[in-house]
Amino acid sequence: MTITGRLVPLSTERRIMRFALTLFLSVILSVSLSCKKSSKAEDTAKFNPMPKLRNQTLRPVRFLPQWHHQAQFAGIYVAKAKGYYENYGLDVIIQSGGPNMPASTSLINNKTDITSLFLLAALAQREQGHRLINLAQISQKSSLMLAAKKENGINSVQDLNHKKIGLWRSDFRELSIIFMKMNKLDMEIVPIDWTINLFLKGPIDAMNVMRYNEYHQILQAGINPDELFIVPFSDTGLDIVEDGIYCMEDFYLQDPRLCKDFAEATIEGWIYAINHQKEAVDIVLEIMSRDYLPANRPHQEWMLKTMSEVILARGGVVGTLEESSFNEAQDLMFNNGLITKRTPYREFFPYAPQNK
Amino acid sequence: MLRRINSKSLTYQIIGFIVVIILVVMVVSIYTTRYLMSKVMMVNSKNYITSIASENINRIEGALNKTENQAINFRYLIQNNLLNQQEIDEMVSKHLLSSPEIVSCGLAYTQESSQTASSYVFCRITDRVDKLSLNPNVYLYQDWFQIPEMTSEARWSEPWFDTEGSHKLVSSYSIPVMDGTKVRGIIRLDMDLATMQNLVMPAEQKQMGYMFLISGFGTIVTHPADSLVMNYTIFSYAEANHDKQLREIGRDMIKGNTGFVRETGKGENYNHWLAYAPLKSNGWSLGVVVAHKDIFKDLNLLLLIQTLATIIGFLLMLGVVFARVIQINRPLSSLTQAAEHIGEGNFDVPLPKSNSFYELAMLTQSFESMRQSLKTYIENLRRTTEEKNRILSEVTFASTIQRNLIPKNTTENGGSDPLRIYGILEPAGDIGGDLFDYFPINENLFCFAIADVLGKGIVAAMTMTMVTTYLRAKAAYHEQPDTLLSDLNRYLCVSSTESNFVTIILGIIDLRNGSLSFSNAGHVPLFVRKADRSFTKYGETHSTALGVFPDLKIGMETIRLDLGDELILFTDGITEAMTVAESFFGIERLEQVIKDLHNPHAETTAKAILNGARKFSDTLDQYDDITILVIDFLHPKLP
Repeated sequence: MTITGRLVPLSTERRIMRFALTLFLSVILSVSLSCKKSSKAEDTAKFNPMPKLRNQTLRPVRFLPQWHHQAQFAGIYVAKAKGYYENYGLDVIIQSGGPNMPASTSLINNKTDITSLFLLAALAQREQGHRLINLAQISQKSSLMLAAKKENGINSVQDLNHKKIGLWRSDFRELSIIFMKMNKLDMEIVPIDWTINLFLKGPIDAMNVMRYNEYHQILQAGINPDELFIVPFSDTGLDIVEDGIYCMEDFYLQDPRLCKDFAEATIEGWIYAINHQKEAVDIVLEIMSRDYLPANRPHQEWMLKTMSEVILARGGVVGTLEESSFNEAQDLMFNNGLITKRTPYREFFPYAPQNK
Repeated sequence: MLRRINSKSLTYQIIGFIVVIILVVMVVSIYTTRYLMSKVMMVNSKNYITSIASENINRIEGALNKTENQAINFRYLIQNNLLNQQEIDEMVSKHLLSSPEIVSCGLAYTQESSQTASSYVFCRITDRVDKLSLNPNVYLYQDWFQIPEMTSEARWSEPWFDTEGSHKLVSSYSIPVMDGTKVRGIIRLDMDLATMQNLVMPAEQKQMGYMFLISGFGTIVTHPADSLVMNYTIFSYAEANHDKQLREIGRDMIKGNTGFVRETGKGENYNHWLAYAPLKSNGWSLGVVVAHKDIFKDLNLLLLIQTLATIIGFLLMLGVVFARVIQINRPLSSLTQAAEHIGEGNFDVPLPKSNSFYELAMLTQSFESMRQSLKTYIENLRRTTEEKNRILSEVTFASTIQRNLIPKNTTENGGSDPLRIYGILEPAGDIGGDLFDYFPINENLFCFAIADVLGKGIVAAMTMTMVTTYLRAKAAYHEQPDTLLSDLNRYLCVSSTESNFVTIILGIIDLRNGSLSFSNAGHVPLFVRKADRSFTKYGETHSTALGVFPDLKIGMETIRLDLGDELILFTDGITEAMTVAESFFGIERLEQVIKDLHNPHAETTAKAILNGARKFSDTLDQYDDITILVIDFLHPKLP
């Protein structure tokens, strides 16, 4: 079963899409009210635009984003706010993420049911023996970048040699180390949390940034783009896809239907968010405000816009973890000794397309 | 009166001129005032705003310095191991309770010191102080620790929410505790952000504009709009408002520069003045924003009042000028009306009395004198005209009488009359000085005369009347033209009228045999035309003109007229008929006309000569009297 949708980012096409979605939603409502029992599970069916309401009572499911609420997870909030989860018979409880609630640990410890994770983090967890599986692949392109300050004399990759680089303690550390090896760079690594202040205040010369988040935060701290030396990992042969929707294999096997419904509703939420960015940002800001998180609209707008580009990056295939993307990530880790055994694609991503 | 105010009127001219001049002066004056005053206001405002900024900066700096000094004191005590842990705890607790701006205070050790487990923080919770241990897995990667650790320098942190300790938004002052050249740990004093926010913009300074504080990375720490605080940086705010200028201002602010700029960007900050200056201690920056209109509020009010006052004054003055002009104009207008009446001939219309102003009084006086002169003149003219008309009617009457004196042309010859006569007399004026006359003296003798009295008009006419009357009276006694004319000459000389100079041809025809005796006294020639169309000119004069010398000798000539002979007589009005180019008709042309005549016929001949002369002169004006007399001798008188 594939969860696919073709999106062409053209205004006319989008309008058609919006119209189609509206039509689609009204059909969902009418169908769900009139023929409740017509939908027996058909696991092998292709993506069916008719959602099924299996039970009258909603099935509760917990979702934990891998970080504080922000537009990086806009599709989830939109799917909840627009009632897509409810249409699929789900009562999704969106938990608050952040450094005190690490997503993978929470998943393993059953503090949540479904979470978002980077692909590399999920593969690393599998190496640890935790059998995570991918329900949907949100990101189709790497957003990771290396940013350095030109005022510290960094204008090329080689200028990074013998400089201090801040790497996140949790994610992408390995990817950056591989990058340094590839470019024969000898850099002093400073482990950092989520802050960009070390970079701004000067103790470190370079750091990892996500295009949709930290990069824009740096710009919002008064640094101009032309004052930064940027290396997007997507241009370096390390274009590893990132955000995906994950759950434990046990959880999936217990209720594959629920997992599939969650994934489908989430993708619908994303499509709506991409086509209605202003409304989506309103929803995100509302949630952030509820959690007392500092937020500003231009940053969330930037984040959603950048995420939209990442989601639509591969020919408009939305939601699918492509085998090539998976293999690329797994090979990279295997070859660099970060994992010792390979996971079959279909085992990791049960909704993989049938053999072509 | 208002109806009379058109663009040419005096009122319009005066008021229009004054309005334009005063309006120009008013506008120039207001603009000049505004320009000069705005310069002054701008300088004053700049000083005022800058002084507000400095005042607030000093206040905040005071609080920051106090915190910094406390931290330095703690470090001194800890670095030199002057106190044991219990003494430190007591001192810190006491200090926290007595310093409301500090909410927590802690000491955290570096990983290398192997004392991370001993790290702690004191938090004041209302009136008690709790000591909490710090989790190295968290604090080792927090800004307040990591940055001073790496730089070995004391630093103020960006505002952050302390979830471990005070659960408040704080800015931490972190100072490294050194062990030789190595950093052993970090002492941290947390200043409550609310305290700092209260230091900015106390209530009494809220009248003019507002202040905001941004951190070293542009985070908005205080701002009247709560939604911006800790959510936005000055840069994200600029991005939200698409305000590139504000972004540049923000960059200048976080560089620690001072400035005073006009913010012309979009959004709420449109047309504001922004003064900013850095907080030297922590690298933050304070901005004071004042709306451009607020700076010039007082000036604009002043100018508004000035403008209103000027307009009211202007309108008052306009009213006064208008009233005065109308007042001045009133006698002028009356004078104009009087002039119109006078122009229509009503000279008795009284002129308005005017004491308004000298010039008008003079004008009225001059006008009065002119009116009097005109009145007299017109009265004289009227009398003269009446007199002239009277005379004219008399002249006309005289003219009628004169015409009646001249024999009427008639075709009635009675069949046996031996003469056929036709005369034409066309005076140049109403009355003429020429004459012709003919009458029988007795049964056999027939007298005719043609004469020209010198001059024209009534005197000439009277003389002519005298001549005619005298001839008719005396002809019977003389029967010879020369004696008759001599008699007439004497009479004219004696009567001594002003104009008695007369040329004349007088002839007497014996009707029985056609014998013609005639005398020419200074007159133009006489023609005798034969039946065979030949003619003879008798140009000899027998004396000079009559009425000059009493003893004038006058001759005479006698010829015999044949059957069909035609006598042609005329006055100098014919020969001296002039063209516009002032050439005369002359004897030669007359002879040509006579030569071209056909059968003798008095009327035809007379009219042909008149037409010849008229055609020649070809002018409407006749300069002299024209007289023609033609006599055809048809046959001798039958016995």
